Order: sequence, then C-alpha cells, then structure tokens
Amino acid sequence: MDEDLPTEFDLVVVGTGFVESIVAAAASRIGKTVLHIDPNDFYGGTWASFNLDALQSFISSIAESPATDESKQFNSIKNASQIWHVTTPTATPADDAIPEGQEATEKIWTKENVLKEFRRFNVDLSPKLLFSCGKLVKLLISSNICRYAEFRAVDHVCTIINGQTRSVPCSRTDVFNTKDLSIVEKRLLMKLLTSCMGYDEHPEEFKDYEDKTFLEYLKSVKLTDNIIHCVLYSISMSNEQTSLKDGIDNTKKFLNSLGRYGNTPFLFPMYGCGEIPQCFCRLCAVFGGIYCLKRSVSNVSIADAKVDSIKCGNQDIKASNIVVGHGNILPDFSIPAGGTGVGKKCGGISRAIYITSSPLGAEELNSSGGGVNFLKLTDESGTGAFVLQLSHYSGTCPKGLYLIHISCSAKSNNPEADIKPYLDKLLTTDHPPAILYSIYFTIDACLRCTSGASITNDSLSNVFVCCGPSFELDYDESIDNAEGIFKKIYPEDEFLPRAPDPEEIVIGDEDPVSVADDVITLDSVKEQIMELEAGLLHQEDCMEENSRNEEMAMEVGEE
Amino acid sequence: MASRKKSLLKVIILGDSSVGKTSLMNQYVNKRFSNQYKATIGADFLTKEVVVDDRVVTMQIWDTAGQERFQSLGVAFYRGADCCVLVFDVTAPNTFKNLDSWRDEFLIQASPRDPEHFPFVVLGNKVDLENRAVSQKRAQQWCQLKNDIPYFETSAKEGINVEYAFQTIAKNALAQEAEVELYNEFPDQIRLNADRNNRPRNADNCQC
Repeated sequence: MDEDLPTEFDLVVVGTGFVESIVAAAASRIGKTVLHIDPNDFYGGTWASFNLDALQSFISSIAESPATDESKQFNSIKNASQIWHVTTPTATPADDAIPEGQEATEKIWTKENVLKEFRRFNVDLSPKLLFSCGKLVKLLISSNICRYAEFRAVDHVCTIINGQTRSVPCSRTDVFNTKDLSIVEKRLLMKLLTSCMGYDEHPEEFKDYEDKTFLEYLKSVKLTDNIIHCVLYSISMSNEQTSLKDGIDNTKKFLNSLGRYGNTPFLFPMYGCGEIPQCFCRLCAVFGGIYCLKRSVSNVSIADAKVDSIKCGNQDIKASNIVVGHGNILPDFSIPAGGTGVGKKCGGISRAIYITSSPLGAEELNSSGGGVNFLKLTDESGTGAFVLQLSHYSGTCPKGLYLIHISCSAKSNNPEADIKPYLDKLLTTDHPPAILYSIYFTIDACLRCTSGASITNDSLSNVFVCCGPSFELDYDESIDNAEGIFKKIYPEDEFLPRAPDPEEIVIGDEDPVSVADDVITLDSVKEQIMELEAGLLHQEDCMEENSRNEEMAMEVGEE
Repeated sequence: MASRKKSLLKVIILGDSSVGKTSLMNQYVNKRFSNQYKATIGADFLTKEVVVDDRVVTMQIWDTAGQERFQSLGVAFYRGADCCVLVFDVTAPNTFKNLDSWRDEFLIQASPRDPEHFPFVVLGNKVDLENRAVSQKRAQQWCQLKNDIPYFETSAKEGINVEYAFQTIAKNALAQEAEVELYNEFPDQIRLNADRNNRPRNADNCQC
C-alpha cells in the first residue's frame, strides 16, 4: 500500500504540533508544495490529546526512557509519572445494593471501569483556552479554518476566596445578579471596569499610579477585598507585582472578549486542544499538502550552509525550506537556525492532570454535570497556575468523571512538587475534587530556546525551528512564532488569507468561466450581507439585554 | 435551547486513494465530473439539503482531503460522524479488500456509541468501466457479513445510482437517530463562523 512520495517540495515540515501545522497550512495556502511528516503515529506532538489508553502508554514510554536520550528525538516531555489512587475493589457489594435506576447518580469508579471508557477521554498535553476575541479566534475566522472546529464556551471563571470556590461575575449581567456583592460593591466594580476600558481615552485618571502596581491602584479606588481579589487574580490574571499598565491591559483583554459567545470570555475546543493543529493540517491537505505520519528524517545532505535534501524512508527528498517542530531534531546538526528570535522562552511548564470522580466547587458551579471551568491561582512569587476543569460536555472525558489540568511554570525538575501548592489549594476548599488518577510531567523548551537562541551565521539558513507550548493561556506567542517563521521564508506573501468556502471551490472542467463569475458575485453579496448583519447585530444585542437580564435573574434566583 | 434533534448530518467518505470519493460527492452535490484531478486537491466538504420523510436536513459530506494516501487521517476527521460511506473501485480488488481495515479504522477512531448498528453504506464505484474485477455478488456478501450494510453500485462519471445512494445514506443516518433516540451528545456547541445561533446574546461590552 506504500506508494512513493514526490521527490521535491517547496517546504518540508517535520512534526505536527501547533506552530508547525500553522506554517504548513500557510505555505500550502499560497500554493507552495508541502510535505508534512511526523515520526509519531498521532498528530500534535507536544500539543496532542490522547485517549486514556494512549496517554498511559505515552507517559510510561517517557518515564522509562533515559533522561538524556538525545539519540533520535529531543525529549520535549520529561519527568513523567503516573499513579492510580483507586485500586481494584476488593468486593463490590455496592453494585448489588444499588436499586435499579439509581446507578447513574452514584457510580463507583474503579480503575477498571475508568479504563473501560478510555476512548471517551481526550487528554491534552498542553491544554489552552481561547479568548473569544483573541488572536487564535481571529486567525481561525480570517483564514476560514474555523469550519473544522467546534467549541464550548467556558461556563465559569472561578476563584477561591477563603477556601470557597466561587464563580467570578464576568459580564455586566453577572455583576448585577450576583449575591456575593453588595449594591455599593457592584457600582464600584462597574465603575472600575468602565474606567479600565477607557484607559486609552482618559489616561489622566490613572496619572498618579503610572509607576505603581495594579494592586495599589485597585486599593486606591476604595474597592473591597473581595472585588480586588476577583479583579486582580481572575479578571486581569495578575499578581501583586503586576504594573498598572499590564493590569489594565489584561483587564481590557478579558472584557473585550466578553459577550461574544457564552457567559465568559473563553472558548475551549471540543474534544480537546489537540484538534487545533489538525484543523490547520486539514487546510494544508485541502490545498494539496501531503501528509505522512510515522515518518522521520534519517539523514540530511548539506550544501552551501543549506539543507539540500533529506532522507525520508528510502527516498531522497529535495526541499527548499525545512521547518522542524518542538521535540523533533534533524540528524547531523545540533543547533539548527533560528525561528523568530523574539519573545520569551517556550516550554518550562510543569503539568498535572487529574481524573476525578467529583468536580471542584459546589453544585451551582457544575450544574447538570458541569461544563468547562477555569481558575487562575496565584502564588506569592511566581506567575501562578492555570487550572482547567473539564466535564463530559467538552468531549474530553466520560460522563460522571472530570479532568482537572494544572499548568504552572517549572521551578524544578519535579513537576509534582511544583504543582503541590496549587493542588493543596484545591483540596482544602469546601468542595474538593476526589482524585482517581494523576499524571505529572514537564514540558521542556524547544531546542532553540534551550540552546540560548545562539543563531550564528554558519547555521543552516533554510531550516527553521518551531517553539513548543509557552506558558500562556491562549496561543498568542505560538501564533507569532508561526507567522514569524512564515514571513522569514515567504516575506512577500500573505499569511493565511481567507480560504474559500467549499461551495466556492468548484471541481470540474465544465464551463469554468461562468462558474467563476458566479462565485465572485456571490462573494460580494455575502460580504454585504455580513456587514449588514454586523450592524443589525449590535442593535439587537442592546435590545436583547433586558430579556437576558431576566433570564440571568432566574438562574441566580434558583440558588 | 435549540432543538436537540439533529438537523445537520455529518457524512464521511472513506476508502483507498483514487476510488472516486471526491468524484462521488462532487457528482452528487454539484452534478459534475472531472477526469482532471488525480489526488484530492481543493476537495473539502460539500453540503446539500435533502428531504427525508418530509424533513429537511443538511447533509455535510466530508472528503479525506488526500490525507488517507499515506494512512495519515487524524482523529479530528472522524469526530461526530453520523454516517460513514465506504467506497471501493470495482476494477481494483485491493480497494475492496481494504474495506475491512477502513471499517475497523472508523470504528476505532470515531468510537460511535453503538458500533454494531452504526450506519455504514458501501459504494462500489466505477461500474462504467469495462475491466471490472470485483463482482456484485462478492461485494454484497461482504456487506451482508457486516450487519447488512446497504450496497450500491455507482458511477460518479455517469451519475449512475449516485443520487439514490446518497438519499439512502441520509435516510439511514436519520433512522439511526430515531431508533436509539440519538440526540446531540454535546449540546451548546459553538461554531466560530457565526450563524444565527451563535450570535452574541448580550452586549455587556457595548459602550452605547
């Protein structure tokens, strides 16, 4: 069944992680011939999602491989460990004791029956959230790649106050309806959020605090501790040291993404973040890119400080440019040429994944089985941790179970120790999650970031290395990385222009002229309609707000 | 909330390279045929409204986009499929033999709730050609063994049986829904290319 690959490409991409996949899609989109390979038998590399079976094997394979194994692959994931906290039940009297019909409410989870549902899991190595008006959402829409993905709006942004997990009021309606705040607090909060939004227009309001911290400013406007907590840690995701400017920028970013989809500013990809690279790969394939998993580069031939061809299987393949992903390294040279060279290091993330049989927080945070909840935790010194709780509605775990992801910047080679302070915070709340299984690992920086980004003139000028996941909630830095690489290779070309809708791509040789005319007319009509709708939408929204308020009041009233 | 009954059917087409997957969907949706493309370029998914038992549903037919060529279809392709169309070339026996592995691959990757009764349809394509190598009987036997998968002999080139086959595909996908009371497993899904349901419901941010 194995046919031969073509022997010449404009671009060969090794690795199917997020950054590599974007570069591959962008190149293919502008008509370049692309070969996209991955030594793994799955898509995504460090960005992949696994079912539980595959996840366990993956973690075991890393745990068992020697730490300094640089033979073929650069280990982008290390320090991996996994442990089950439930064992095989000694006896199962409960199964018989439960009367019929009650089974669904109180299922007793054992290792066996969790594993039996392994296909219902899609566990992310690098879970992320998308700001509804953030860079990735914009890119997905502008490139029309959004048609390959579906999302769930994050249900609650949470915070822990005095050992209680609470929902942070995000939207204006949330603020007005919450019972956690007094009327005076609500007014103050709204005033604060409004002045943050107007920062650029009225910088004079903040003049006295320009060189102070965001916290100092928040204290100055007479906010109560509860509100300061919500704004500082959850809405602006800042800490005590964050400057005023950064704090306000973060707050604006949060507010700008509100009201677009759902109740919070965030989206989570259905079936996990591992879907996202595959969406870009599909676009690349639709435009003619060739895909080959389970293939690696065994050799390269170099001429004039360039890679001239690569050996893939038993074929020599000529490539004008080569893009190498996080966790992949080409043989025969140790430090490849640089990517974009700006920004902070990628990787350096300590990760924990828990499968739990009960969610974090009370029932109202997890109504009808829970959705996707997000929690930003802080610590005194560092950047804090992102906590993401996923229910079966996200397509990433079976009904009745929850996935809790924690990511923080790595302080040591012991991810469990790095995560522990944050886990303790969750476990000491009023409704702690019941953990069945836990995994810890470290996501390393890419080779270029590790080697101190020392890009010299003698490095290979047509090889570009992609960064791995950065410690960021959304994908902004990774998109910059991909666009930077694309612009280095194809400085004159547009980065991911809108792909035509399937109906606009007409395959067939009959009467192409009239078809093309049709398409153009349709397109401009569509554009006009979209503009019209955007205008109407805005009006509608304002009108809808009243009814929306009522709806919210009902939900809150049920508590 | 929106109706939990599905009005969108996702149909995926599987089978070896160059058995005519793209041609079949192109013939069905656009009533066109081209000899000009070899590997799939530009084929993505096509949508068509169909009426099944007085109900209008949108059928979205997904092409492999050529990623099957080196066995590199990612799991994302299989998500949420309501029906799987297996295609082989009646002039190429190997493409018929590989139906087994395509079916298995689908069941593993898509892991439908009820694999035994998941609606498959098999299409033996290119019946317009002279050099036929897989008999109708042989194909039918295979289909019977696999829980009576409906079998159609088609020609994307001549448009033979294509309309009828896809009509059956839509019907079976919907019948499956009625039988096991399938509803949207994941309600409240958001698509970013904003159709009406995805419109922002409030405008907290609105400065007017």
